[in-house]
Amino acid sequence: MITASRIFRILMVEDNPADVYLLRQALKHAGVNYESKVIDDGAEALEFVRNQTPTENEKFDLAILDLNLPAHNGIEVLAGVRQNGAFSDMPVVVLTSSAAPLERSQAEQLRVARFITKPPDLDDFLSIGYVLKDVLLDSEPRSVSV
Amino acid sequence: MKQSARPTIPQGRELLTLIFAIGLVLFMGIMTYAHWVEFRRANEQQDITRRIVRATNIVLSTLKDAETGQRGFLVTGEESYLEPYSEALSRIPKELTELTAVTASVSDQAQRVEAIKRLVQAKLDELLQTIELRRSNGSSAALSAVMRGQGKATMEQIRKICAEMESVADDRFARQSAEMLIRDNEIDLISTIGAVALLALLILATATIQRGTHRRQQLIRKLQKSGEESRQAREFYETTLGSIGDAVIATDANANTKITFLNEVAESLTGWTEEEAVGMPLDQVFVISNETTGALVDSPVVKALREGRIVGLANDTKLTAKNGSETPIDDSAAPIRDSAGEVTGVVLVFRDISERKKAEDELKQAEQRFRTAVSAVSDIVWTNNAKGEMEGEQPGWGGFTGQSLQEYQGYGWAQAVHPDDAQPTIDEWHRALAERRRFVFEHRVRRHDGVWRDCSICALPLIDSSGVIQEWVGVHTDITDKKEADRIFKESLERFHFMAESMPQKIFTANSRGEVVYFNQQWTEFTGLPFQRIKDWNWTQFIHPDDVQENVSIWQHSIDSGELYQFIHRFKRKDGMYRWHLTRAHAMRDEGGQITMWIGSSTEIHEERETQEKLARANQDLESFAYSASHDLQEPLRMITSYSQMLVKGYKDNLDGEAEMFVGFITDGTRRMRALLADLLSYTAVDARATDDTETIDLNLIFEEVCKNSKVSINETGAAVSSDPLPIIRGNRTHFVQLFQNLISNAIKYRSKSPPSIHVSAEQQNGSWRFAVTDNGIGIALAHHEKIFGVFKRLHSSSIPGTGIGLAICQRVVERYKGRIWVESELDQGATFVFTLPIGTEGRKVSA
Repeated sequence: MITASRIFRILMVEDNPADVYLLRQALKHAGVNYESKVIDDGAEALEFVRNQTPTENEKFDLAILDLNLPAHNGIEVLAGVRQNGAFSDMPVVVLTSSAAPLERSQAEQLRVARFITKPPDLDDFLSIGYVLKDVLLDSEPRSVSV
Repeated sequence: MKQSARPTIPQGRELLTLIFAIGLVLFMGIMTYAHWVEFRRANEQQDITRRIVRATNIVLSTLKDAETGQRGFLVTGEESYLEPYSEALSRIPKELTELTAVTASVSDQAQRVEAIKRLVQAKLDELLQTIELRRSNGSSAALSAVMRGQGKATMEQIRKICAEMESVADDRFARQSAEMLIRDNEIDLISTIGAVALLALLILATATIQRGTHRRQQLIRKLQKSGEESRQAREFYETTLGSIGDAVIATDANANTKITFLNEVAESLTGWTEEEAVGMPLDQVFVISNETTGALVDSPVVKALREGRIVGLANDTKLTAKNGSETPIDDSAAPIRDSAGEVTGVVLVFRDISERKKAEDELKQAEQRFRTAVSAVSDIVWTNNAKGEMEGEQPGWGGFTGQSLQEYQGYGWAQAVHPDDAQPTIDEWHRALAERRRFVFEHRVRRHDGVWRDCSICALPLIDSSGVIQEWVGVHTDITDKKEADRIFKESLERFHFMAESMPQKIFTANSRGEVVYFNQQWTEFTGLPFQRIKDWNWTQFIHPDDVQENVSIWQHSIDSGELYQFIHRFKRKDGMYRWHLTRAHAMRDEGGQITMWIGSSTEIHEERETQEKLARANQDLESFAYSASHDLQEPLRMITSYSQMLVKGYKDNLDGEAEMFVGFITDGTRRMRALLADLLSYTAVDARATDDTETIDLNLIFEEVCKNSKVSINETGAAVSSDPLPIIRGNRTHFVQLFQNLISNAIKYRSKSPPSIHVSAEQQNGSWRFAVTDNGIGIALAHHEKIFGVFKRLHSSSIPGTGIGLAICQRVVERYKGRIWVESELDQGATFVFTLPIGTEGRKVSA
């Protein structure tokens, strides 16, 4: 499969650098080739998803979204993603330490690919890489994956 | 019904039309028949002509057959050719006979037939001759004979005559056909004209009949209507007479007055049915006599007939019915006159007056009873004459005072009145006498035993219809005991008010209608309003506007039902501030259970209430703080866990044993802290307001679920866990899973050396469910029974793992549902954790 060698573009909205690091480790662990943009602030993230119109090459294959963000929360950012036509197809994985049922149902209404609660155990966290890989491959257009 | 009103039907015109129509039909019939006879004759002639032509042709054809056979034989000489000849020969005579018969009725044709017969014979002879010739002399001789042409000429002649016959017949046929056509047309014409004429007649007749029918129907309707009216009128009178409450009998005017009518009431009073009675002489049915003497009385009918006016019956008359039963009656008779003023009968109206008699008797008895009663009551009833002097026997007065008639008569009674009261009484008595008005007074009377008794007096003049005072009737009532009771009541009321005034609470009393009749001084001090302005229902003015409506309705409910009144509301203080008060009021009842008054008190609870609210707010804040704190603490803890693991993973080879041990302590510490935080979260979550406490929960299912959750430890320890049938209750599922999970886990965790045996029981007790979780574990010393329910309170070191929050959660759950939890245990004796849930939070008990 040529997908293995493809370089994915991933948008990470995460304010905790320690989690960003763990996330990179997880993706590496799963063998995902990627380049990423990290936004560590809710307001900035909202600004980005509202106003950006990426070209075909600049499009992101996946967004990983934390819900507890400074300034604006992740649900607002997610709503912004769904409102912008340029991002509306982008799969979003919510990765959060909050497991409040309300947030979960709000997120699911905004079509998230996965809703993951950050696990405290390191190995559990690293296995998230495989989950993200599945999401990337699932959303891959057929013509490329063959 | 007036005969002249019936319209007659004009019969002359209708009859004429009918006769004309019949004539027309007859005429048409005759004409048609005549023509039909003609037509049939012509038709028969035509038939004969047709048959002549056919018979002629047959004869001619048979002759040709014979000739053909002859020719064939002459040429060949073979006999077989003669077959058609001989066959024709046999047919000829019959055919000729037929021809003769057919033409018999036609003379000119008959002559021609005779000629044909002759020629046919000649032809047949010729044929026979030539055949014989052939047989005897051979063909040439025979042929030559034929050649001579004699046979042919004969044949020609036959043909000619036949043609003549046909031509004659054809002519005749044509003539006959033409004649038939004429007849046919004539018939058509007659039929058409006749039909048109008939149609016209028919239309005329229909119109006439229609008019006649219409008139007849009108007539019938009129007849019916007038019949109906008279029937209705009769029915109306019969119904009226039948339904009136009085008995009615009508008679004729003859000497023996025969009955003509008897209504239902009369039937039941006399015992005669109308059927039986009508036609009978009145005095046999209507038998009346004097009630007291029993002598027969003349019926008023006779008098009414004689005098020609309405006659009433004397009183005390009774009617003897057919079966002998007697009824007191009241009756009257009136003559019936026709339009000429002639008396034609009498109507007798009477009614049963036994009820009225009974009422009159009862009244008499009542009066008698009253007189008897007066002498029996404790009140002293007396009468004075019109001048106001006591006169005659006064048993009431005499009995009470011990005075004799001589002593009390005239104004002697005043001797029994207290000296201080005697003169004022006499003065007032004189005034009442002069003004002819009611006398009302109070004075002391010396009883027969010498004791002074307080009495109230009321006397009234009895005035007859002419306005003259007949006598005075008076009543003395001994009110000494009542006065004493009043005095005691007044004293106790004063004492109560004195007590109420000295109390710090606000006290009030209200009457049975809920009107406040007393407020102690604290009210006026608090509200700054005088009693007059807040009494009755005016207290509502100092109630907080938001509380007034509910307050009034709850107060009203208590007044109506007599139930305890209790309400928390705000009163406006004189400085305009509202202060919270708790008010309670009880109903006081008399011996008969009737509410006599309400006694209530209001206590200011403003401070307490505010403190309570503050406390509730503080608790709520604390809970949300604990919730978010434990929640937010999870985050950094996760970092520590993840990265210490990362450290071990990434630098495994570079860490010495000691460093690895340190990292081990870090991860272990974080794991325990995570467990603590998780428990703390669930502890604070128990009080979360948003949770739904009204789910229907089958505790049996909860028990099963908890056993499933603890399956590993149950298997490991070989624990036996059992339960009674548990009830279905209302609450939040999660809460009860937590409750049972913690209790059962604890029972397994704190086990003794023997395998745990755990039982959950449930029973109803004093309006509550009483649950008990009993184990055979290590037990708990009495000193710790309270302590164990505290947050983070643990009795054991880390040798038995736990966060020390499980029982705190249990307590919180039970208390949320207004229950209580405690432990019954001794060290090394096992433990029973008991908790109660008030019934009402539960549904029905599920049978085993």
